[in-house]
Amino acid sequence: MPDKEQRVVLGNEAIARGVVESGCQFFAAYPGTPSSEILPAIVRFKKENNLDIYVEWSTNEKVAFENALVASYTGKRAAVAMKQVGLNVATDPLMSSAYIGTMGGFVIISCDDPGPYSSQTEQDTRFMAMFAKVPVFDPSSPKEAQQMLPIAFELSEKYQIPVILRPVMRVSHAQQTIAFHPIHKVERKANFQRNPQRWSATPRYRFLLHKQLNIKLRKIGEEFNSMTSLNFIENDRDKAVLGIIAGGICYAMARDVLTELGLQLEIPTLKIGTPFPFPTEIVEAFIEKCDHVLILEETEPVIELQIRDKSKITGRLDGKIPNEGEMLPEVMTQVISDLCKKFSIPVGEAPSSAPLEKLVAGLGLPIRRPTLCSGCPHRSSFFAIKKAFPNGVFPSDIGCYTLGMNMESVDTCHDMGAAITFASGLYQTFHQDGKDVPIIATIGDSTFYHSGAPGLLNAVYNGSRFILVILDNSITAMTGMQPTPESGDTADGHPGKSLSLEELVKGCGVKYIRVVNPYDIKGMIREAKKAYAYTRGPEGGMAVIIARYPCITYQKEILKVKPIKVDIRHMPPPEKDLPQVKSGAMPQSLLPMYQDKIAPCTGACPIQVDARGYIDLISKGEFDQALTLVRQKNPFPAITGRLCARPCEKVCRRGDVDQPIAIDLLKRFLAERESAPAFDLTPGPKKETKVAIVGSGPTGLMAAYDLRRYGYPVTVFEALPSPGGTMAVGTARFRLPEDVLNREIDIVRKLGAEFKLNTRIGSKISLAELRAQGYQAIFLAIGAHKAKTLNLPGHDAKGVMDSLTFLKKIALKDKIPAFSRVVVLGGNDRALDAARTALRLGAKSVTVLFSRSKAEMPAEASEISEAEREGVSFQFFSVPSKIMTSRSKATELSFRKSVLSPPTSLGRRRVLSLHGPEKKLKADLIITSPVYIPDLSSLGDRVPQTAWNTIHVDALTLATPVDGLFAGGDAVTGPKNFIEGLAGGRKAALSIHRYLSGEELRTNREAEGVSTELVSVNIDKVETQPRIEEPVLSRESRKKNFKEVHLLPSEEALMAESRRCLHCGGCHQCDTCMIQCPEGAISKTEEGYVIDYNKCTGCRVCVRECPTSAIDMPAVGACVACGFCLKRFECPSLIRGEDGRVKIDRLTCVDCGLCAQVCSQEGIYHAG
Amino acid sequence: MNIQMIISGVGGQGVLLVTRIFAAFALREGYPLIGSEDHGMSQRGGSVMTYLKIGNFDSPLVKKGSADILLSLEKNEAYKTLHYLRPSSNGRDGGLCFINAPDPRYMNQEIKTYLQEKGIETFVFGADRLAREMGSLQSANIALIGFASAHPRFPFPHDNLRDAIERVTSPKFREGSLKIFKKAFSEGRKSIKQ
Repeated sequence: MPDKEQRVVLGNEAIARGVVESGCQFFAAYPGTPSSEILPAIVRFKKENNLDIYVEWSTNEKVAFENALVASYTGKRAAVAMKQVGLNVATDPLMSSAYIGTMGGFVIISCDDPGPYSSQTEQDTRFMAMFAKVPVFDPSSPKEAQQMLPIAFELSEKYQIPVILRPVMRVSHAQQTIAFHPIHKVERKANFQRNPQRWSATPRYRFLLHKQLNIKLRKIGEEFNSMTSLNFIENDRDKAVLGIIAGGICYAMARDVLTELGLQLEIPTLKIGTPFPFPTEIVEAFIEKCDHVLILEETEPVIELQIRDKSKITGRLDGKIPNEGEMLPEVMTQVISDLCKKFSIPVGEAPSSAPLEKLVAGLGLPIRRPTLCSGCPHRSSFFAIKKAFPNGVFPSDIGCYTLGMNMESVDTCHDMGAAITFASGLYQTFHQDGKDVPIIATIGDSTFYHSGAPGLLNAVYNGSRFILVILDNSITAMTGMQPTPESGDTADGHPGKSLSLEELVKGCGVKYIRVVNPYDIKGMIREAKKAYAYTRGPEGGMAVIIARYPCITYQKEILKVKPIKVDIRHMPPPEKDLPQVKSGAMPQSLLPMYQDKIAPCTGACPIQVDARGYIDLISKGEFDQALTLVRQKNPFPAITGRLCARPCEKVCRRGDVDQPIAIDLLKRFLAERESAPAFDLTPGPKKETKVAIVGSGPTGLMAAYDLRRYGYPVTVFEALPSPGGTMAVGTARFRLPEDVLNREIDIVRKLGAEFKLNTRIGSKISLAELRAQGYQAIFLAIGAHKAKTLNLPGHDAKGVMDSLTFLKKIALKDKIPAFSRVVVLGGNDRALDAARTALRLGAKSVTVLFSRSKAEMPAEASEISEAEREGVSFQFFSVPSKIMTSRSKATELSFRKSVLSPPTSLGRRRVLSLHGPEKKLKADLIITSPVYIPDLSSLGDRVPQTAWNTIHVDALTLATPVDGLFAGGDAVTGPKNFIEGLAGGRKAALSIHRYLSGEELRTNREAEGVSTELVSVNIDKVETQPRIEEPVLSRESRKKNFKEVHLLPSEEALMAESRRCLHCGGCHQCDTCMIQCPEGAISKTEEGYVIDYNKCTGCRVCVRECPTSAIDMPAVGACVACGFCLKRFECPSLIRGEDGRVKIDRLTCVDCGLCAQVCSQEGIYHAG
Repeated sequence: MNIQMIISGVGGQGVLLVTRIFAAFALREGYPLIGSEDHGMSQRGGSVMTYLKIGNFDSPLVKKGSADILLSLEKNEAYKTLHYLRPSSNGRDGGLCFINAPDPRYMNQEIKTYLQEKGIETFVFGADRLAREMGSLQSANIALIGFASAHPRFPFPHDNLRDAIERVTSPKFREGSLKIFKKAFSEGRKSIKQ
C-alpha cells in the first residue's frame, strides 16, 4: 500500500490537485464541458488546506485568460481553464502571450471533447498550441495530468512562456485512483515591473520577441527529447516489425488493447506526452528501429504531421484510422489486429459484439434523446414562443436551451452569443428584401453575459428589429450550476456584486424590456405578441423579453414549497390500438369539425344581418359584395346605419377587449358609397291576392318590401302627406336627411308597392271597405303616435307639447308659436332630437331635464355629447313638479331633485321621492316625453286590444284573432326601436304570405328574431386597438341648419376598423388551425380547410387555437393518447404507457404543473 | 482482481451512486480503479452509462464484448448496453448481467438464446418493486447490487460491498439502504439458486 493518501477522483479534480500542488496563486475559468469541475475542486482544496489562491469565475474565456495572464506578469503562478472552444474566444490574448511571455508560471488548461459529446467542434487544442507557438502537454490519464502540472509550471517559468495542458474528455471526466502529493506553497508577492518594450511592445519589438520565441521553442523541444517521464519507449528493442507511437489518452487505451490482444510484450510503444514542440530526436530514433509505425493520437494528426519522413507511417493521414470521432477501443483493436495480421504478427481474436447489436437494433427501442429537465422553465418559454409564432425563425445559442430544437423553437445554435448576431443579420437580410419575418432569438443569461451584449449593442445601433428572449434561470445550468454575475455570488465566496440584467440590456440601448414569468404560458404568449407588435411599430425597435424563473433542477425547493400536483384522467381502455383518432376508435362526435356558428352580432340582430360577413368583405375591400350581403336581409342600410339601436354592437366580443366594432358606421359607409351597385328590384312571381298595409313606418315599409318580393300586389296607406312614419316626422333631419329616407322608401316604390298618402284608415276608408276593395290581407303598422296624458300640473297649457308632435309639426311645416326658452323633459333620442331642433330654430336656451344620471339616459351617448356640444344644457336628477302659466300660456317650470332607488334587477333606478328646494326654469316652450300608444280610436271595435292599449296579436305570427288581419311594429309592442320595427314587418310579411298561400302560420317560427346562444371566442391573445373615431360636422357648420351631423371617416380608416373584427364563429381562412396542427392534418382547399382524420390525433389544439371558434370538438376531459404533450411539450416525466396512453413518471416529475396548461383535451388536470 | 463493468440506466436513477459504491470498495481494498461516464446533455431522464475498471487498467473505456458485469437500472438501457458483455467460447463463464425490470420474462427470446449460447448469464429483478415495498423508491440501485451480490460468480464479497454502501450513503438513507441491500440479497439467493 502506498503511504500517501489515495482517492478516487474525477480527472478534473486530479488536474485541480496538480494545479494546487504546483503552488498556483491565481486561477480563473469560464465553465464549459468537459472543463467545469476544475475550478470547484480548486476551491475545495483551497478551503481544505487554507490556501491563498485567488479564484474567479470570469464572464468569458478571454476575460479569464487575461486576468490570469497578468497575474503571472507580477511573478505569481497562474492558471486558466476552459473548454477547447472557449480557447477560441481567448485566442486573441493567447497569440500575443506567446510572444510577450510570462513571469510566474502560466498554464492554460483547455479541455478537448473528441466525439464530440457536448461541443460544437472536435477541434484539437494541440493544433492551437502549434498555431500560437506555445508548448503543449497531452496527459494520458488523470494521474498523469496531475503529474504534468508541476512540470508545466516549471517549464513556463523557466522559459517565460505560457504552457497548455490539453486533457481530452476521457481524462477530464475519467475517474481514477490517485495519490495526493504535498502542496508546494509558493507565496510570492505581486511585483509588476515596468518594461514597456515587453509588456507594450510595438511591432518592431514584436519581431524581436518572435525571434526569442523561436529560440525558446527550439530549446524546449530539445528538453522534451530527454524528458523521459513524459516521453518514453516501452518494450524498446533494436528492431521491430511494428512499432506504435501513442499520444495522450491513446497511450492508455493502447496499453489496455495490447494486453487484451496478448501483444503487450510484442510491440514497442513510444509514448508522447509533449507533442509540441516536437521531440524530433526521440521520435526519429524510434522510427529508425521499426519497419512500420502506427500513430495513435486523439483527434487530429498532430504528431503524424510533424514526422518528416512518413514512409513507414500508418495513421490518420493514410486513412487507416477514421479522421473524425472519438478513438474507441474497438476501433483501435481493429486497426492493431489488422496490422498484425498484415505483418504476420500472431494476435488474439477479439470477440465480436456485432450479432448482438444487430439483434437489439431489431427491437426498435426508443432513443432517449437529450431533453430539457422536468419542470424546466425553458420548456414553457419555448412552448409559448412556438405558439405565438408558429412560422417564426428562431436563432438560439449555447446552453441547455439548445434542446429547444426538440420543440421546434430553436433553428440555429452556432457559438456563444450568435443567437443575437444571427438574429440581427437575419433581420437585415430579410429587411433588404422588404420581407417581414418574426425573428425570435433565445439566449441564456450566462451566455448573454459571456458574449451576448456586444451583439445586442450592434443590433440596436444598426437598427435591427427582432425579439430577444433572455432565458434567465439565474445560473449556468448546463455546465453544472455555476453562478452568474446576476447572483453576485463568486467562485469561492469572496465579495462580489450582483449585476442587473435589465440595466445591462437598457445600457445596450434597448427601450422595450419586459420581464415575464415563463411558468405563465398564456402570459408569455401575450407578451411575445406585444413585443412583436413593438418591433413592427413605426416608433419600434429591438424588444427584449427576460423570461425569468430559476433553474428547477438547481432550486428544487421552489416546487417543494408549492407543488402543483397533476394527474391524468383516463377513459376506459379502448378496444383498438391508440391513438384513438388515428385508429378510428374515437367516436365521430368527438372529432374536430369545421362548423360556422352564428356570430354574436348576427345573433343579436332582430333581422339577422350577417355583420361578420360584410365586415370581412369590407376588410378585403370588396365593398360591392359587402353591400349585396347587407341587402340580402336589410333593404334599408342607409336608414339603419343612422337609426339602428345597434344591438349587434352591444354584444360584440371586441367590446370585451376594448370597444365594439363600429358595425353601424361600416354599414352606413356601404350604403353611402357613390359607386354602390344597383339594387336588383325584381318583384317575386306575380300573385293575384292584394295586401293592404296601413302605415309606412319601418314596419310597414319592411312588410311591403318583403311582400313585393313574394309577388303580392301591395298598397301602403299613409295618413300623413309623406311616407316614412316616425322616420319622416319623429326624427330630426340632422340625424336622418330627407334624401336618404326618400331614397330607401323609393326602393319599395320601385319594387311596385303603391302608396296612398293622406289616407287615414278608419276615417277616410274603413277596414271593411278595404276588404271590400279586394284586399284579402290587411297589415296594421300604424305605429304609436298617441301621447298619453302626463300627470303634471299645467301640462295642458299653451306652449306645452310632446316631442313627437313638436317634431311632426316641424317636419310638416305646421305653424308653431314662437319660442325662445325651451325646456325638454326626458332623455330619449326623440327628446334630444326635439331639443336640438329647437336650438336650430333659434331658441335662446334649451335645457333638458332628466330624472337620473347622464349615464342612465336612454339616448345614444354620441347624441348626448353632440347635444352638449351644440349648447343644450342638462339638468340631471331633476323631476318636474309643475308648469306655471300666465294666461294659460306656459311661463316657467318648477322641478326638484330626485331621490333614486338602488338599481332593480334590470339595473334601472326608480325615482322614489323628491327632495330639496323647488327650482325654477323660465320657459315659453316645454317639450314633454310622454308614453306613446297606438291610436286605435278610428279603427273600430273589431281590432282587438290589450290592456296596454296596443293591438292584440299572436306573438309568433303577428296575426290578430280577426281573419286576415295582422298587426306589427310599435302598434303591437308599444314604442320600440327602428330595427325591431323592421323585424315586425318581416315577420308579418311571412305570416301573410303563408296565410294567402293557405299554409300553416305557426310552423317553424321559433328561430325568428334574436338568438340567445352566442358564441364567445377566446380573446386571450387579442391585442387592443381602439375603435375608429367618428367625425362630426363642426359646431359652426351646424348652426341654424339641419345638415347631417355624423360624417363618414376615410375608406382606409373604415377598412382598418373592419380589421378589428374577431370573426366570431366564422372561419375566415386565417390559417391558424393549419399552422398550429402538430400533425399536419389540416390542409387548405378552395372550399376551405380539410381535416385528414387519418392524421388527426384528436389533440384539440385546432379548437383551442381557432381565433373565431369556427371548429367544433367537445373536450373529452380525459387523455385521448394524442401525444401532443409528448411531442410538443416533450417533458421527460410524461411517458406513453404500454396501452398508448400518457402516464406521469412520478420518479422524475417535479410537480411543476405546466403540462396541465398544455393539454387541450383537459385530460391532464391539477389534482389539488 | 481485474474486473470490467458497465452500469447503465437513465438520469435520476442513481447510476452515479452505484459507481461510488464500487469506487469506495476498490479504494478500501487497495485495487486501482479507472472509469468514465457517458451521459446526455440534460440532468434527468436521459441515457446514462458508466464504465468501471477495477484492477490493472490504464484507459477508462470498456471495449464492447469485454465487460464482466452489466448492472442495468432500466430495461431498455439494458438492451442498449448488453453488447458490452463478454461472451465466452465455452458457453459457461461469460459476463454476468443484472437488470432492473418489473417483468422477469421481458427479455426478447432470440436475444436470450443468443446470450445463453455465449455463456452470458442474465437475471431480471424487480428492484423498483422491492425498493417501493421497502419505502424508498430511489433505492432500486442498492437493491440491484444486493441482488447481484448473491451470485456465486459476482466478484465482490457481499460484506465488503455492504461496508462500501455504509460509507457512501448519506446518514438519512443509510439504514434504509442497508435493509434494502439485505432484502435484495436474500431474494437473490433464492432466485439465483433456482
